[in-house]
Amino acid sequence: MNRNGSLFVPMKLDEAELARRVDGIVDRMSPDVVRIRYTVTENWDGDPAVYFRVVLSDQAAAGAARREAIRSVRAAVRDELNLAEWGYFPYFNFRGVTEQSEVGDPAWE
Amino acid sequence: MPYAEDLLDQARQLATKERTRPRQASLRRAVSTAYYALFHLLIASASAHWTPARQRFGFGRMFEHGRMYSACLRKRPGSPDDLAVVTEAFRELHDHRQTADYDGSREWSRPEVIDIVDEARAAFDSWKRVRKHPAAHDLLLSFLSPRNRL
Repeated sequence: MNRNGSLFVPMKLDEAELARRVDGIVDRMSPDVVRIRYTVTENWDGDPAVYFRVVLSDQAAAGAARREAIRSVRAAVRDELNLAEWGYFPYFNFRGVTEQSEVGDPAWE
Repeated sequence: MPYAEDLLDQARQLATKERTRPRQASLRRAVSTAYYALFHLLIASASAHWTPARQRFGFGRMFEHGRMYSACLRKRPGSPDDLAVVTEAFRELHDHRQTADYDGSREWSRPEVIDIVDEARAAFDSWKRVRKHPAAHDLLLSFLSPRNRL
């Protein structure tokens, strides 16, 4: 039961299969998507979660292209990773290559 | 819902406050404010149906973050796509807000925060389209259900 009283019984996440599917998304969406890092954990409410850190090319990270890239990655994760079947909730953050280099967060490398 | 709209405007202002070198304080408050904008939009929509009008503020105080979050996790087969946009945004913004408010180690970038404010804006737009749908009314009622039966 999570901290708000909701009951979730996630299946054991097949991390090798998850990695394979994530690599497939990166390969297919390259060069706009440079890399995707993720963490399998619990969210702040105690529910099973996968936090995605998506690095986009600088071109894909700018202006209207950024909105389209975000939409495409979210759709790909929803349709191809199918986290719902394992009982996990996705969370997303996006940065461009230069943006990430300025922040310098190693979790995104 | 002027207060909610004002909060969303304020979130964008905070996200773009410093011309160069955005402060983490501004970016983190922007994330938090974007969440509260959606939170108050939904509460105001529910309260608008309550009569007498003088009780609406008290009625709004009955809504709790955690219960609303749990209600947004529930699958609602057959409900409009716009409603899914709202519940997904609420779920994500709820989590981003807690990171922004409580995880001091987390560095934010301005474009990243603007993405989050844009997600809140998209939820506002979707709510405007779907708020009169029966499924939207069910969602609002489920925010008050102790066992998320609805």
